[in-house]
Amino acid sequence: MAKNPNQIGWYFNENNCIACRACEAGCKQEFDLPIGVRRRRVIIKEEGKYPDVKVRYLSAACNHCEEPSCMKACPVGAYTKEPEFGVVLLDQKKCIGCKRCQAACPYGAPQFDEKKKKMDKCTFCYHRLKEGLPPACVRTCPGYSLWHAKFSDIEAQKTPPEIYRRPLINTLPGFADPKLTRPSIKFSENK
Amino acid sequence: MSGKKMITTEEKSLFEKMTGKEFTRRSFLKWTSALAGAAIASGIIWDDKLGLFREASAQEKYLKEGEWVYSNCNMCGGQSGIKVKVINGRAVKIEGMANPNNIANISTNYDKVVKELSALYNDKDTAGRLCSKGNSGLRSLYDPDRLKTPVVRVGERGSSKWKTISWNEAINQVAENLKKIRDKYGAESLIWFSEDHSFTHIQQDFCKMFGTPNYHNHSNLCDVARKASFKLLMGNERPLADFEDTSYALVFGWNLLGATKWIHLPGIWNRGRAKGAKMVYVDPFCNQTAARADEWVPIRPGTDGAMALAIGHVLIKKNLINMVFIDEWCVGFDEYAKYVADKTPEWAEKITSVSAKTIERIATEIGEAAKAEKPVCIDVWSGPGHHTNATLGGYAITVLPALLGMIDKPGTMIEPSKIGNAYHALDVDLPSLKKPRVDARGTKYILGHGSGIYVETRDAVLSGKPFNPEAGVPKAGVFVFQNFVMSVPNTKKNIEFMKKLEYVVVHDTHMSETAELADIVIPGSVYLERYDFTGYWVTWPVLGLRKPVVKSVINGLTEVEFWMAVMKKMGMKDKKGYSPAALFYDAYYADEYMPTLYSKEQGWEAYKKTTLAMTGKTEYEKFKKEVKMPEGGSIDEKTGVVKDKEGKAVGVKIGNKIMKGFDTPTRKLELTSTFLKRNKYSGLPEYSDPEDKPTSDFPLYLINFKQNEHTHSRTFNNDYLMEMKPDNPLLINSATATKLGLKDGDAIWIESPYAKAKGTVQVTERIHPEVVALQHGYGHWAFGKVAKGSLNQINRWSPVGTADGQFFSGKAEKFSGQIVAKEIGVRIIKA
Repeated sequence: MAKNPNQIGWYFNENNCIACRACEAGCKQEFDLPIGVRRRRVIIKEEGKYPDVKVRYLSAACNHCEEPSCMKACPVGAYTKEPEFGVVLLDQKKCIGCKRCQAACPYGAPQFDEKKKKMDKCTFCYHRLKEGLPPACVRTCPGYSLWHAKFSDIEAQKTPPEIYRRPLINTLPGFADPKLTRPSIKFSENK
Repeated sequence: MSGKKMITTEEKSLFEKMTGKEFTRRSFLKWTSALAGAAIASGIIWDDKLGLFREASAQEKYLKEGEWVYSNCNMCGGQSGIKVKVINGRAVKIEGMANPNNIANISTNYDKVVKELSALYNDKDTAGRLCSKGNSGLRSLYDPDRLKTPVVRVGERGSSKWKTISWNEAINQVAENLKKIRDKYGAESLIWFSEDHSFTHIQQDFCKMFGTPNYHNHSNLCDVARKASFKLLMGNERPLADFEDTSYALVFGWNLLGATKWIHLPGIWNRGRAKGAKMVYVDPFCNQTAARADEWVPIRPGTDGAMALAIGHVLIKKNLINMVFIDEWCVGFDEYAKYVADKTPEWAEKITSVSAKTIERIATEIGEAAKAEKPVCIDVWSGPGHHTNATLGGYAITVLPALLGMIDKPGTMIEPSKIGNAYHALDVDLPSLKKPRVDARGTKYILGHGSGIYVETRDAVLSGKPFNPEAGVPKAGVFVFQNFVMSVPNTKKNIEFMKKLEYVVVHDTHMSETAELADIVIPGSVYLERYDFTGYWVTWPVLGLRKPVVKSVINGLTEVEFWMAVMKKMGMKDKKGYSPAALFYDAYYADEYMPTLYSKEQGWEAYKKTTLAMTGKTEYEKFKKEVKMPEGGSIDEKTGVVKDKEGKAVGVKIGNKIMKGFDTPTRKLELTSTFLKRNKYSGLPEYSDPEDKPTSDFPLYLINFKQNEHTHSRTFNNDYLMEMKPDNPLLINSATATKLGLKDGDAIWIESPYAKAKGTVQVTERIHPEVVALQHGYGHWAFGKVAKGSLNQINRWSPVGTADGQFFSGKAEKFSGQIVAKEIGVRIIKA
């Protein structure tokens, strides 16, 4: 699939993340999500031995990949990659709840809604993007750690404002090999 | 939308669903052309991308419909500005509002941050952020477990047998019963407990007009030891740290990134680090702040004061102190220097477990930064503050910035200038108000804070012998938005105390462990249903207004309306015949707002819309402001202290100028306290060991801590927050766990001299090996369904956690009366 020049993407600056889970709650609130469906999750890891311990955080959701494995795995064509922002969308009307996408996704993005018996996933707040608004998770991040922009602008370090940026890297501990699906996300590490 | 447009089956069924008519091509086209433009309002949108009409999602609808209403959060006491989308009377989304409390505690960056971030998006409030609690507010508002009507007890105390009564009956009953208590035992026999920042004035008014001096509020459970420590140094109880413009921050026991009260803290901390500041964090637990500091210094609980004294020792030994500043603006240096002469890093290492080398290095780093005139910021909060040695231990820390001359300048500890609302002073002089308080504030606790001493009051009820016999023994208690049983250390004593009271009123949003022991329970409001003034935690005057964003979901009265009604019923008035109850709800707030200087810029109606009033900017070095010699005043030639004709110290002569100085007896920063000396203490920030250290029977330190997902013990029925953080396993160092034969997730018994209870362990590298820790607020047995574990069945989570309060002795710190909530020895046994 040719790269969409308008592809939207995330920037996660681990150095500014405080694991407060505002992004998680902001997402749940935006979509009034039921208990059990967690489109965004903050993952906490420890490295090293006391007292030289490093605490690693990762705010994880769908990465709206260039080559989404969920889309390939779906037997009923419920997934689309829409053209305007390159957002990966799931049509719940078509979804049969087989969970193949969940198994295929290396990031654990698709969530199973026990009540509806269907999959559920991050839409990158497509409805907000259309209005020039940031996704709910970005909008609320108290540490100014999670950002979004046109992915090429993130790669070129045009955004976010310099004070919220650190040197870019492609992955963080606990994040799957980006070569697998070409996720639309870049990172910076904790100092 | 041309005539040749293909109409999909989805569109056909949508048409039929929305119009109730059978599909024809013509009627469809007629319908869609009528919809064009304002389609969203009817729930249908034309999707350019898909080239078809479809039903708008709930989210698309909320963006376009309804109205944003501005207010203030109260999921914790932080008062962040919020805007709430309301559609047809229902709140559907809460977002942060760009006001200074969300962005800065210093004015230098406020405008800049707002401008920079709002330029990025189509939302002028985008710089205003909210934490997980703020984002989960609607789950608390629409929580099905909320109390909906007043209830009275019909069975034994605590038997959970209740009868529903009307609001009017509740007002009558409370008024009658409180009258009876007053007639029988005197007005001072009523004790009152209230949350901070929420409808406190009406409660204080009630107590005054009733005639009881025994009003308490939340601060006593929070940071009054810190307040006392700073008061000893500088007179001001609440300086704020400017992390954004600092070059070096040394913080003792304040998980500022975990509390996110206040929401600006992560932003200013992160921008400070991005600009090159070094942050060093001292705590037994590597919490969220330690995790985002440049260095974590693990320390034995309650020994921070010893480390601070050793830092003072090194600063003096290496001549890294600011002698010019000390000569001009500090008193008691010689005594302090003599006291710390033998407080070497080696001495402190034995007490704190922090290596002498580390202490020496940190002292040298801050000293050298200060010598180079780079701002240094040193702060302490409730980590060391919840110990038996908290006030003087904290004082040893608060003197450090004074030694370096790092006070009230950018990047240091700043004195806020606060102007609140005009609290309507009632003219009441009932004799019972002059009785000593039952909690011995100001007598036993010489630095006792206005919020009272909870455990002293409790213990007076239990023993029947108050510290000052004249105070009398309390007989009735009102608990507003306070879960005393869960929040105050030593749960067993708390329950006995509640049972001993003759009449108990609890006013809260839910049933709780405290409400369970009441005679009558009044349903409380959620912050989106009521007014409150909110003082912001910024360094220049700002006044926020919380206001009803939606009508009461339970169709009830707010706290202010309820207590006004009881006031009326009891015929309460002050000497001039004034009663706040004479005003309507809205007018009561206008009455307090209009006399303020804010109202000159913005009248009540305009203020109600913006919910924010502010004036001025942060001023620095306010202590150097020149003041005029007061009429009839005098100057003490020896000390330079300037007094007015009433003998109150109002300034200090420095050189040939009279300056404002600090609000201490000497008008200077006191490295040795005049106040303590007057009270027969040495006046020095002396170190003493915590009283309730581990013993051979109970060999591990137990501390509690707080984290972003929850506030006090009151957010535990919020399903979003409980989904994120469902329980509180005991944190234990891996080496200690190995010694005890424990693996991650093991079931255990936690035992202290005061309680034994079950828990689970989480093995971690993030805690001092001699320490175990529980997050505060878990382990409810009488709260809503979620708090008691209803979500656990769905998600197969572990139990709802272990209540930490039961394990502690329940003492008050001897100067400030602060509850001691982080000091006890425990043993851990595999269950």
